Amino acid sequence: MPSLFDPDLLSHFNYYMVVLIMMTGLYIVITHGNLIKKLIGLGIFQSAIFILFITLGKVTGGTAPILSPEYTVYSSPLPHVLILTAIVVGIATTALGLALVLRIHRRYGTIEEDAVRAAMAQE
Amino acid sequence: MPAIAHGQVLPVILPLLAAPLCVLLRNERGTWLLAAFTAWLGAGLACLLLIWTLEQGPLDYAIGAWQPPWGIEYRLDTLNAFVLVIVNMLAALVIGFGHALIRREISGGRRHLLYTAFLLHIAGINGVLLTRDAFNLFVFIEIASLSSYGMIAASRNSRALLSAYSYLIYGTIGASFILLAVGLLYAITGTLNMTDLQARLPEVADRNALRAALAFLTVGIMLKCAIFPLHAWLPGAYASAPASVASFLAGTTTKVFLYVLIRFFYDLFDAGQLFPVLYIDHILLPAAVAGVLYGALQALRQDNLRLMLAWSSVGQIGYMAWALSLGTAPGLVAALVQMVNHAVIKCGMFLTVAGLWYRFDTVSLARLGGAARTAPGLCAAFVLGGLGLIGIPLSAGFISKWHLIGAAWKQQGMAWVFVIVVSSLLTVLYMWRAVDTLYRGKPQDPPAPAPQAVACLPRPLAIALLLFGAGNLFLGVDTRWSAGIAEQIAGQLLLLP
Repeated sequence: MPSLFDPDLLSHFNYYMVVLIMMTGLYIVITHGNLIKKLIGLGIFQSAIFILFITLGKVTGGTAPILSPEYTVYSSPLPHVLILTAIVVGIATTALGLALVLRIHRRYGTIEEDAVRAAMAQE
Repeated sequence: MPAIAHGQVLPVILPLLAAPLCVLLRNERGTWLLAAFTAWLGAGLACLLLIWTLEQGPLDYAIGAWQPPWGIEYRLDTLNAFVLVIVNMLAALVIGFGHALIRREISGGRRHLLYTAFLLHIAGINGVLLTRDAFNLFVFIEIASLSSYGMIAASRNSRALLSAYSYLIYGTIGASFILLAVGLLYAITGTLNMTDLQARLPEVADRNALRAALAFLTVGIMLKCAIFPLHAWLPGAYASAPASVASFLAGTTTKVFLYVLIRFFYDLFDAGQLFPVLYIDHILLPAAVAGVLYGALQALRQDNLRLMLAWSSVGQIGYMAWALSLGTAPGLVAALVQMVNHAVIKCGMFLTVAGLWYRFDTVSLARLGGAARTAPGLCAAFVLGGLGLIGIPLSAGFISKWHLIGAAWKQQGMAWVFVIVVSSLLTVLYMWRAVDTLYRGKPQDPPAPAPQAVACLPRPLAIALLLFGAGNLFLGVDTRWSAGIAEQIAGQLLLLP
């Protein structure tokens, strides 16, 4: 059994956490009937992917890619740029989702999926 | 670089420019003219680009003159030009001729916003088709998806809000899986440019990270394509979206994601080598076959005509996934032919049902009994579309079924052809049920004269239905533009002589 401080395990710490966070988010999306909690789950799920990307770009001992004679090892800036874009996309998704929940709440007075479906069936 | 190379960014840039103009303009007629003009311009450009690639080969374009791999590259080949023509022609027809539907269904102050979302959606789809950068692909997927959630929620239908919400949840999970796959591909190859990916992937073919990437990619695309059993968002979204939007989405959304599937599995990888190693066919084939049968059975149970067509879409997408799961040239040709034929037939049928709704203010079969007496033209269009879905000779659907049966026969044998025949018979059953009600519904149960019922169809909508009917017959007789081009594409992607 690998020791808890096994360098291999530690160097992969982020990746294990990514899987854990991603599954937590997905579990929330699947199990909760509350429409806002589902969106929170979706946000957690997406964050896991962002962490994965940022971890990919990190080089041990690497610094920001600024041309200077003192540094020779740089982390890749590309994943950061990609994730900045992905975060914006994520915010847009969450905002649209919340706007939909708001309109559902105005119409049915509830944000529980089962109650909304029951109200829709009565209409 | 030939001047037409600039033409391949225009299908993305023009709608992106027109969308904010629509918000500023606010005037309903003005925004409609602008949107229709942009859509027709896009359709014309797409046709020009397709003809160019057929004659001269692929076109490359470096955005902002930043050469790849530093910049983002667009690349037009026959495959994406082909899908580009389908998407932009349908957009031009739906926007150009469908404004009566939008005027009826969306309240006055919001119509310009619907056109805005429509244009953004077109820009997103065109971007997905044209880009050669894997991350750019994800961003365009999200632009297209977010605008379609908004368009669905704009409907007056009481179920639209929840449908849009669940589409948003499913769609975002699907897109995130695709993003995850792109990240893993980047991790093992160090590039996002598809041309470079193509070159470097064979070197890393035995890495587990690649397997994980492909697994996420497959599931993400299956969610977005609504391939059974990940189709849960589709019936609700298509049945409750505004009628014109539903027609467009039914014709294009799933096709675009099937294009992404083809791009990754047939262009970036070699399907013939990839499938036996990674068992993608073992996942796709059972899902597709189950979807074909389940979609048809569900369609048989629906009273709501739009739900019936939406479930029929689940079945028809199954055919395309089936053809792609074969991993052969005939399979790829069958999938591409089914893509164009189903786009034309299904978009036309959704518009026909929208016409029925426009006249009788209902899409429920129980209330449409005997509608053919008062609306013979609409019901004839419905029958023609239905014949196409079933695959009667001389209709477009026959060509798709012919190619699919040919491909399945060659590779899988008799039993599978039997499944296709059974599913076609199920299609006959649900179409017959609808047509029988429309033509021979009980005399004491005529279509209820709804308060908003209209005596005749708006002329543009009637013209659009005629065009779709003509398209259905044309594609059923002249296969140069469907199967002919599909064979060229298969030749290019699978490096056949």
